[in-house]
Amino acid sequence: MSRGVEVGEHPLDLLQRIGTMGAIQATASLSALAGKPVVNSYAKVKILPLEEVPGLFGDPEEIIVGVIFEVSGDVRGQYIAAFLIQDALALIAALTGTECSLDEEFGEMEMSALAEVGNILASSYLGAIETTTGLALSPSPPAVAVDMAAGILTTAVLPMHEAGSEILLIEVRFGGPDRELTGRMILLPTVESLPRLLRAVKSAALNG
Amino acid sequence: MDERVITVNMGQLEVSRQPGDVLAALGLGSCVALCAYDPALGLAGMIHVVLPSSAISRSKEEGPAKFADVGVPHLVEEMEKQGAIRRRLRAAMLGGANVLSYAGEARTLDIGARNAAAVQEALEAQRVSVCATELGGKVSRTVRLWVADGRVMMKTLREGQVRVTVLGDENGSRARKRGLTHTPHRTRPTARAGGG
Repeated sequence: MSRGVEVGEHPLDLLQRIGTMGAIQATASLSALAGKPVVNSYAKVKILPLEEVPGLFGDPEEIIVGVIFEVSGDVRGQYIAAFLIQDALALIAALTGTECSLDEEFGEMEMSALAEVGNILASSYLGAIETTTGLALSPSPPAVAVDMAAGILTTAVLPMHEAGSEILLIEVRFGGPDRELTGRMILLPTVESLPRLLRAVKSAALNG
Repeated sequence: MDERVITVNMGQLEVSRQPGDVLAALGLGSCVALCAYDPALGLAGMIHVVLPSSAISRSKEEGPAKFADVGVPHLVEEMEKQGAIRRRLRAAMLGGANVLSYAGEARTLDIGARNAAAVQEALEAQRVSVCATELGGKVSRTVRLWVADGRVMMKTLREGQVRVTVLGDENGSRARKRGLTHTPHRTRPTARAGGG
């Protein structure tokens, strides 16, 4: 028997592996995109009551950019890529070559640049999980929102919320060496999808 | 006099008659904040509604005002316990936005619209009169209710903080006439980018 996974490895550790797999791939994509090194600094599985979701970025009123995808296929859920506003502005500048500020409402070009950042991250992250586990995870076209963290995050999470249940999220944070860029990626599997995801990760780890 | 801000978190209910208190629900997306006020007492209440119906609830651990159908009567009850009279109550409801617009067809339900409709329906059933509504749209809102005069302010990313309504009497609530209140609070200048 392979020693890839310790006997009785905790499901949370398996989920942590998922986060790490996806994070490595997405971080590489983001570095290429931003034109500067991005360090994958943190991948963590969290189980939270719904009530803590508005504070994931600290202040519930913090202005963030959220790019949200519905995930379908073998695993269903939500995938969220979120950045503090100043980091999102830096990403837009890197992608489009134009400086913009929050004083003006984002135009179509800025919003589509942000959607593109989300697309790249989602396909790297979900693609890494697909490659490792053999499961299919397809992202929907994204929703892009520039707004208060609480409003974006709760609206994204609520469709996944089973009344009375807690929210399971696989969170990845990344930043540059000088913390020039900080963002989060969150994968929220539905309660029904979770066992399938865990089984697939476990068997991939045993075989790998 | 110092202001004390009481944050009303998801699913929570707060009632106060301290004139220095401000009840606040931060960054509402699809959630709805219901503000209620009894001008004769200077008594204010707020709930932060998350979902329309308790029918899906499977736990007793839920917040007292998580669901519109039970949260609204619960708020009225709590205010009546403190002397409020139902026909005197004035309400304002804000929130219920749909902040995520997907390219292509929306696959998720518009929870905001359902929350707004459920709160509205529950208020009608409770026979509480509604003075102001700021519902729907695509932007998150922060809602603040000043206990001193029933003033309701709303803050959004683009428009900063604006006054929505005053639920107290024009010439001041009884609390103010008794001299319990402080000088009117001046709205802070609107923060620009990243106003938080």
